[in-house]
Parts: sequence; C-alpha cells; structure tokens
Amino acid sequence: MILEAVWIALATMFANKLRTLLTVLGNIVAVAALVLVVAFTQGMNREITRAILARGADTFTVERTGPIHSDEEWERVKDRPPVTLADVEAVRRDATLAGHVLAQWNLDLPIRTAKRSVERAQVEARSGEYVYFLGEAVAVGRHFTPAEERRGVPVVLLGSDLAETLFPGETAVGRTVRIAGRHFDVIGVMEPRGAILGQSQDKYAMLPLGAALAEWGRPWEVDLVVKPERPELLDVCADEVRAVLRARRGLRPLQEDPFELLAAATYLKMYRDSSRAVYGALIGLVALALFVGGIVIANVMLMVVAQRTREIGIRKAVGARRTHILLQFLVEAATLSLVGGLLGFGIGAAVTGAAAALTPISFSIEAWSVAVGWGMVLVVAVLAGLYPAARAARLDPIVALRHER
Amino acid sequence: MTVILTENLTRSYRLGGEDVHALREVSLTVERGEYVAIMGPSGSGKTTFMNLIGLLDTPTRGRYVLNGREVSGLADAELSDIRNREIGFVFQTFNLMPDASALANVELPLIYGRTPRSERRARATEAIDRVGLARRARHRPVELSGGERQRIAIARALVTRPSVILADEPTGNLDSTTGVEIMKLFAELSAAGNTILLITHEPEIADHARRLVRVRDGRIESDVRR
Ligand SMILES: Nc1ncnc2c1ncn2[C@@H]1O[C@H](COP(=O)(O)OP(=O)(O)O)[C@@H](O)[C@H]1O
Ligand SMILES: [Mg+2]
Repeated sequence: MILEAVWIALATMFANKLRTLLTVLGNIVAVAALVLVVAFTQGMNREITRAILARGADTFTVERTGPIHSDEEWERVKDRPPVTLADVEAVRRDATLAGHVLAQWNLDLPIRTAKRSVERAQVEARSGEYVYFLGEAVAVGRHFTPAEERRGVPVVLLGSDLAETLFPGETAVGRTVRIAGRHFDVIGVMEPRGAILGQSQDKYAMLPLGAALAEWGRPWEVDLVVKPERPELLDVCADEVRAVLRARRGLRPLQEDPFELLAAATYLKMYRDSSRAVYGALIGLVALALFVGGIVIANVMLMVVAQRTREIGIRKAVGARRTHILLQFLVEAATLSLVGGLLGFGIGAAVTGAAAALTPISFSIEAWSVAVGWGMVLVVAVLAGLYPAARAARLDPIVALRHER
Repeated sequence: MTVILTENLTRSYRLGGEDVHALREVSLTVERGEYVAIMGPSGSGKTTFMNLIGLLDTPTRGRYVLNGREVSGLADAELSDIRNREIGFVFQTFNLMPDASALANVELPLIYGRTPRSERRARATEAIDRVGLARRARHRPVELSGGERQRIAIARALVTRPSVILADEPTGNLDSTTGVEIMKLFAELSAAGNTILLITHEPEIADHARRLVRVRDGRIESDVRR
C-alpha cells in the first residue's frame, strides 16, 4: 500500500515536472545550501586548522603585532620594537618553563641549480631545536642537527614542491644548490604540507640559522616560537616569557605589552568563532527555505487532495480506512519532499564539485550534512503533508463520491 | 440466512435549521441469494438507504444488523474493513479510478483487504473474466465504452466475494441496449447465488428482480415477492 502511494506520487510528479520542480524548490535550495556551505566551511576548517597547528598545538608564538583589523590599530602598534635574536637568547636563558625555543628568520632568496632557478624562494633559517616544532616529517634524507646549526654547516632541506621544481623527476638529496650565490648540500626533502586556498605550502627551503647568520648578517626581526616543557604549563610559561621580554624592554608595570603572545589555541578559537557566524547565517537561510518550501508543499498537497476528492471517495467505498488515506497522502508528501531533497543534494554536490575544480579552495562534502538535510526534508514533508492528508482522510465518502471532477 | 436486517432505520439531515427526513423508520430484511429491486420517485430516499446499507453513512436512529452483526456504532476502521469484505458497490457514474487500468481498478479492494499480491492478480483476472472483459484488462477507463466501464465496476464489486452487491441505478448512464446487457449480467450473478440490491427508475428493469420494494417519502410503500 505504501509502495502504491509512492508510485502514485512519482507518476504524478513525473507528469507535472515543472510544477513538481517549483513545489520542491524550497527543499532544493535548503539541502543544496546546506551541503554546499558545509562542504565549504569544512574544507576551510581542515586547511586552516592544519595551517594553525603547523607548529604544534601546544606552542605559542611571540609577535610584534597580532592580526590587525583597522588603521587605528596599526597606528597604535606600528612603532613597537621588533622581536630579535637577543630576545630569543633571553627567553632561552631566563624562561625556565620553556622546553624548546625556536628562532626562525624568513628570507626571500634566489635558488639555483646548474639547470634551473627560482628567483624568490621562501627560505626559512631555523634554530637547532626546530624539529620539535615541525608538523611534517622528512620524506627523504635527514634533518640537520643542533650542532650543525651552531657551526653554520651549509646544508638545506627542500619542501616537496621546490625539490620538484629544481630537480624534476630526479633525486634532490645528495645534490647541491646555490642560495644567493652560496653552495648548500641538499640533505633532505620534506613531506608535503599541502595547499591553503590553493597556495602550495611546499615551495620553501629550510636551512640552519647559523649558516644564514654567517652568510647574510643579522635579521631585524625573527619568529619566536616557544614550546612549554609540558602542555599544561602553556599559560604559566607564556607569563614567564612575557616577564622576560618586558624586562628587556624596560617597561613599567602598567604599560601594555609591545608584543603579542599567540597560542595556536587562540588562533583556532578566532577561526572557529568566525566559522560559527557562517553556520549561523546558514541555519537562517536553510530554515527560511525549508519553511517556505513546507508551505508550498502543503498548498500543493491541498490542491492534490481537492483534485482527487472523487478518488478518495472511491477508495473509501471499496474499503480504505481513514488511516490508509492519511498514509497515502503523507507518503505522497514525503516522496515529493524527498525527491526535492535528492535534487537539492545533487545540485549541492554538483556545485561543490564544480567549485572544487574551478577555485583553489578545497571542499569536503560531509555525510552528516546530507543526513541532516534529508532528516529536515522528511520533517518538512510530514509537517506539510499532515494537514492536507488529515483533510483527505476526514472526507465524507458520500460527499467525495458526489464530487465533480 | 439473513444478510441484511434493518429496524426503524432513520436518517435525517439538518438543512438551514430544518430537519430533512431522507429516510423514516425503514425496517427491511434481505435473505441470502435474494435479488431485490428498489424503486421510487427521485428524492424518495433510495440512495440514502443504499449508503446506510453500504456503511458509507451512519443512521440517525435505528438498528442495522449485517450478517448477524450489529454494525451501528462501529468505528471507522471496522466499518471500512466490513465494507471491504461484505459490500460490493456499483454506481450510476461507474466511479472508476481514471489513471488505473481495468485490472488495477478491480484489484483495488483486494489491496485494502490485504490479499497477497499473486492471489490478487489471479482473483482480479477471474472477476474481469466473469464480466466478459478479459481482453480489456489493460485498458484504462477512458479507453472503454460506458457498458464496458460498468462491467469493470461490477467486476470490482464481485472480486471480494461480498455478502451483498449494492447497485444504485447502474444503467442510468447507459443506452437501453447496453442497459439490457448489464441487467442480464446482474441476472446471471443472481442466478449464481449472489445477493443483490438494485435501485432503478425503470419498471422493465425491476422486472428482473424477484422482489420489488417501493419507496416513497423515505418510507417503504410496498414490498412484493414474486
Ligand atoms: N447530504 C444531504 N443533505 C441534505 N439533504 C439530503 C442529503 N442527501 C440527501 N438529502 C435529501 O434526502 C432526500 C433523499 O435523497 P436520496 O436518498 O438521494 O433520494 P433518491 O436516491 O431516492 O433520489 C432528498 O430529499 C434529498 O434532498
Ligand atoms: Mg439516488
């Protein structure tokens, strides 16, 4: 009987394709929007979380400025002193809770081989404890040691994309490159980090800070990253580092920090807050589409019940119970609604696929969004179908049989 | 054995503050295998009586016993099930489902009677065979003539092997030749042992029946067995 109702529904829908399409537009929009926006935000989530956690979840960085949102903010922070190697030394010496301290000098330098060159490669000169801060491993070869770093041994590790650019189809490890004119031995190639918003994160070279200092002088500013001895010491350790840096800058107690301490967790929270806003807007849109869609479906079902009044009378005359009629129209509403959901999912998935192919952003269709979409659509179907179906079920068979078509 | 027993069956409608007495205290007994013609002027309450007998309507007052079971006051689900098993309707306007094939129309009561699919098909085919339309089973009502449509409707009424077939002016929408053929079919069904109540305007059609009940102003005027 349910199967029969599904067939009736599908046949009616197929016979009136345009009307069906308009009827289920709300459901299509709701499910498509849900699938698409969730795919987008989840894709972003994954990329950005990975980027934020690149130096480890239990670390914090010291920066001259935090993220700047306005000109006034920039005016306030633009004269702050840089974070220098001397600061790094002080932290290393005086912050007793800091388990590992990383100094990183970022440079843009030309890299050449005999055959190929990259004019502005991202060069990361890192201090010896850098392995504790890496999110990725060496794919081929080995890391440089703290001793090599201190002595300034000219060795380099290449990001996977840079290795492929300089030595396409060849083994990079064991070869030599010239960075800003100086020879470096390639001792390793890194595992890929992937891409963020389509930007490859693997076009970098990583070499000992000691070698960079010997060759290119002293940096004006370095990245300072601290990993506390134990993760639960993050806050205390941050306070300690703050105290060390404030002392070096000769600040009085009430003066504000001329630097920012930013934990990976802080970044994650900032990002999650903003993605929550996206979800809020999504819920609003989906709810509106579902609500409007539900009203349209309810109206169409009322129309269908009116059109088929005679049929309802016939069914009752041959022995259909009220519940049979109720069920039949509920199933019709549900079929209508679910087909709308299916179309919505198809469109959502197609747009997601197209967007993933045409934009650098990576999308990830989530099973839960599909499940939630279908669940919502079913709820709408039942709510929208209940009143028309109840009207049909309550029809007086005599009146229904007299009804003119 | 008594199939239908009514006692003082009454049905009134309230129309604009006034009571319309469509049926007044009708008492009638129909035995198994009887063929009863019901005649009366338009508006005399024939259809009202038929709807009550067919459980499509409930009486304002009075008793109705079908196959020894008191059916006044039963709930919708039970009434529907009894209607499905015990009653076969034939209407003046055929009342077939326009989008379904003849076979599907005849199968419909069996679906609500939860007859297994394979048996359903066999019994519907048998019923269509019985009314002589085996070759039209796949046609939809619009592809059939009026007489053929009424035969399909009769097959649908027969298919559940009901206790009684109720026909409300079954030839009213047919030309006279076709009407005669349909009446021949009813005579055959009666001869085969079916219980039939048939409403008609035309005296020559009433002649087919062995019992004639005349109705006027919602009351039984006469009840004659021949
Ligand atoms: N639903 C209704 N509401 C009010 N009056 C009705 C209704 N149905 C029938 N009647 C009245 O009841 C009387 C009997 O009607 P009906 O049984 O249809 O007569 P018949 O079938 O003999 O022509 C008529 O006067 C008719 O107007
Ligand atoms: Mg009538």
